[in-house]
Amino acid sequence: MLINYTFNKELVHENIRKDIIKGDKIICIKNFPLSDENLNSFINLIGIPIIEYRNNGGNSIFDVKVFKQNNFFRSIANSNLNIPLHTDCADFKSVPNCIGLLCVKPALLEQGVSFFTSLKEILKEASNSKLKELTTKKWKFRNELKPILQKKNEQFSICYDRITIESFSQITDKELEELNSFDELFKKESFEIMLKKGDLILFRNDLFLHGRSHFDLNSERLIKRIRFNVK
Amino acid sequence: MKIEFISEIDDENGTPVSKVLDIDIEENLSIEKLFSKIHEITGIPKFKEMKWGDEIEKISCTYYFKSSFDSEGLEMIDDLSKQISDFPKKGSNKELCLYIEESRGFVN
Ligand SMILES: [Fe+2]
Repeated sequence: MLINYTFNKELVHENIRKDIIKGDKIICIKNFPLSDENLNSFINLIGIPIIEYRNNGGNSIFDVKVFKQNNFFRSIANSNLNIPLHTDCADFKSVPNCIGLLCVKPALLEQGVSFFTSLKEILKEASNSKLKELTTKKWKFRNELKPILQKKNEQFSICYDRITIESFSQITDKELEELNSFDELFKKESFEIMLKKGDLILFRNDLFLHGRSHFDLNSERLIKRIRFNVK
Repeated sequence: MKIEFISEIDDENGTPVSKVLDIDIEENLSIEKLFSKIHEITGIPKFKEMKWGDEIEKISCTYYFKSSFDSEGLEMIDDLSKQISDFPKKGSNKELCLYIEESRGFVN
């Protein structure tokens, strides 16, 4: 599931771009420099980054770390909570198809582990009735109403974030059961990656779900996140 | 002092919807004090609750100020202890322009 590279002069970004377009694996570049500038300029070679107000300096990079305001976490990404498998930006009209995560400081003691599930495995594992449910029933992702699986040009894509679904709409007990059964299916196929300092992982947001485990509040874990559309 | 307060930003085209609030406050106080008053006036809660496994987690609002006269100029406020007078007045009529984002913290 993982293609490994090392950041050096010989690294050919075009190969990485091709791997991302293929979309079946997660790419890990070791020894990546730990600055926003390097990350942003590298991603610009292979894609078009998403600019958001909440990013560092209103630009393309967000520091995923514990941050409190009014004594509460400022966002889920600024918490130490376990984050279940999801798609990023599930509430966007046009969801960015790639994510880069650069590990600046890992959590302590095997905590804050990243986990992933590929859509390919979900499609293999899901029963026909489950597939039908996933492709037909529309869920409310804040202002966007859409099914979890969509097929375009014979290719499936996934968009799932139950926190968004549950935060912005009242769901019935039956729907809660449905979400729990989806979680169970997605989790069954998941695998873990423990990021080390200097690891940059790149993966398709429309072909993989991702999440991370809980970590100690005082661990100073720092991951730099960039979302982009591959060129 | 007059505040241009952005109450929402249109999802479709990113256009801010704003109103002017008149708030009696000293500008040497912290921006946090000013936001507290805005929370009181507008009724916007300081946090949202979410069931997380067996616990209830509270996620804070996110605070922004307008840092330039062009429409893209919103900047997140990291340090709420900064003085009100430290923030530039870049509203439509040169007021201090502020935005409270209520719920995006729940979106990954
Ligand atoms: Fe995420």
